[in-house]
Amino acid sequence: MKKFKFLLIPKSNNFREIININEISYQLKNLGHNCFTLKSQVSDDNLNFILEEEKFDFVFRVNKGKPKNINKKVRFISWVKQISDLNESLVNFNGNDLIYTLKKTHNNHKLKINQLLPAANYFNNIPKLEDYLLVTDRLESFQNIDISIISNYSRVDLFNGNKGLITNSSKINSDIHKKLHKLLYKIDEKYKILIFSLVNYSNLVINKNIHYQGEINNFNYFFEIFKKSRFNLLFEEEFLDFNSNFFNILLVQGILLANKKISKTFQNSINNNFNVSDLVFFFNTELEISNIIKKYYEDYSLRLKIGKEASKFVLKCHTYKNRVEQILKDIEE
Amino acid sequence: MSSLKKNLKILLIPNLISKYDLNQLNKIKQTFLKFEIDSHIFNIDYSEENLRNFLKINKFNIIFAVNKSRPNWLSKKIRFINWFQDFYYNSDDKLESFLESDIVYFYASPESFGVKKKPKCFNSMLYPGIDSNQINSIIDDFGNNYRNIDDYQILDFSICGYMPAALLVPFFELHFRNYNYDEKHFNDNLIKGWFTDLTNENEKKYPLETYKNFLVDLQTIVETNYIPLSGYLDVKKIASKVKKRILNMFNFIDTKIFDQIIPFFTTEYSRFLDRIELARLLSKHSTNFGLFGKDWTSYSEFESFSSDHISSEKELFSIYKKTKINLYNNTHGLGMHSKTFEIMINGGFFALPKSKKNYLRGGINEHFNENEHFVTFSPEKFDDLIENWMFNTEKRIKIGDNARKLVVSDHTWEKRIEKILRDLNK
Repeated sequence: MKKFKFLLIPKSNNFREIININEISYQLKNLGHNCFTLKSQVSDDNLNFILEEEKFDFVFRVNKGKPKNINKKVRFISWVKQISDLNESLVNFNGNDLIYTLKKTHNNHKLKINQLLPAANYFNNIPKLEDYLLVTDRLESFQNIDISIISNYSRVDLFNGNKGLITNSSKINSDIHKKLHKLLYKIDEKYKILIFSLVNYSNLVINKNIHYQGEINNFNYFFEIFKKSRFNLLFEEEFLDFNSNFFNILLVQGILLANKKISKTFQNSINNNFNVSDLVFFFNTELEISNIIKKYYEDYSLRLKIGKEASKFVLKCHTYKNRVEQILKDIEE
Repeated sequence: MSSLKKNLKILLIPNLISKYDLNQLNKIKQTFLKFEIDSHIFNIDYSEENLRNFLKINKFNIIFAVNKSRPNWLSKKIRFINWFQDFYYNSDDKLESFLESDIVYFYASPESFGVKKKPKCFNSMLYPGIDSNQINSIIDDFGNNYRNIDDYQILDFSICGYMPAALLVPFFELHFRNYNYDEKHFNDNLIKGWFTDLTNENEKKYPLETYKNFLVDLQTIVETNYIPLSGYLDVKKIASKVKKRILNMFNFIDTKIFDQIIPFFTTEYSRFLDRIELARLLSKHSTNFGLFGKDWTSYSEFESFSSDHISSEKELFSIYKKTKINLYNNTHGLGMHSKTFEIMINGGFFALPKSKKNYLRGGINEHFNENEHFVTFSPEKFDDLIENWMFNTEKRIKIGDNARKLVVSDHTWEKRIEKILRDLNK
């Protein structure tokens, strides 16, 4: 295959976004491609300047569209949440370009639009839940968090450059937390629920056993939380975010509770005969969550069995290696 | 050599009056003294004027300076030795100032530094040395008790080096680069002040967002011309692009702001790209690492893992020993660096990025062997570094000890001074 020169542009300079875009860069480099990764988002003017000064075969830009007047030889790949995010910039794309969306898109455009999911941040020596069985045969004492939830929102999502709250995203964030609290209120208060989030919404709490813990600032520590929690509730409710924990929870054999709407994400995606519903506890209502927790809370061996299968599924279909293979295949077509 | 030594009186001029630079020259001074050579440190801010006044009342026959050119008024009787520890985009001009009897030393190879002009005088490489006295290695402290060493080494990884949290470096989350440039930002007044006060008074004025756009263009010039941890920094290529971008917008380049901005983007910015790349590799792979250097603590993502600059050598050396894997990087692929010797003299386990530069002059392979004295890693396969070395204390300690022995035998300040004296005799 021809070796290409890529310019990768992250959504922001938040460490989760950067670690994720670096995963794509490292996979491309492992395949012999040349890659330059910017350290944060740039304006369209900046991007035009870069492309006037430097030659790239591909630009891969997260969460933003294609600027006007880009050299036609440069093929553009935009990865956005949903097609509507591209607004007016949609007219700048051509048949050589690619648009990836997180939300499944019904393609009624002449453009190439595919779904591209986030992926697991796999590395060779990542400790999984079963590894702790070698140290302790009592998973119940190791898993000392009953239920955990980790917010996807970072400072840059919630605050403007003048250190003030961004009204719109702040409202969305508080609504998500309200919904979460509503979902959790039927859970027996004997179960301890930890929410890791930059903004503390304790004032909205209905279930008194919900505790806000502040944000997690170390990437590896996410994996610790996923393993130490008997259940991990996904923050998203409709489709996976760029920095979703979905695959990382499963990667380390954690147990994942997710809104049923998320399961639509996996329709028609490559799942290699795995049935995602067997690996993730999808729920529709607060009662269903409560019942799942009651039913599986004490059943370590069943949870571990599900976790092991889920991890196999992620390693086979949902690593950044898989995603880069998909991107390279799509650009060849 | 003995007759030469008797007559020598050397003036040592640091790069800057900083603790690091003065400490290094002090080691050189102490070592000259062992050779019965008198030397003196010029510990006032350097300017040719200050030097001239100083030399009116003090007599020297050799000047040993760091990053300086030979003043054209300087008596030909005084031999001038300059040690280029840094080579900036405009340092080539300095090379023309030296006389045939002078000496020019480079810290990294002229190829790595991108040196284009050949000085008239003798030129060679000179690396820093180490003072091996009274420095215990891990083996000195623990013997072969690897279990105790394992308990003692409480940090999996460490990185030592400064990481600014200023607006020229877009790594902190509320940096203006994350937002539309016409939005209000808490750094707006600072940016406005720079371009108002530090540019020429007749300079054309622009809206604030144009300045923000300009600063980000400069950042992206480096980001698209230097791959972090590659060791392949091309200072001159970046300088020419930075200058072109400046001249595209401003009429007066010889002003205070660009005197600071050009060296920053051509030399320093890439260092910080290296360090943030390494730190985020650690964030992905570990919950047990230390980042030591000014301003790391200002980053919320590294708050729990960082500590301010360590000025005590004793404390710094104890960190090298308490760390299982000491990480190092250099934008020129320079391995023969003072930090290398400092880690090695403590028997610390030393890891640096894989690079073809490691095999060039000034690269680590010039004097050390991979997997015998140090190890390498690639950012793309950082997990291999962990798998191969993190859990094998005995192998790590053995490698650290091999390196220490070689440093003690070949890389002391005595060896460096012997070289300088030999070169003076040529």
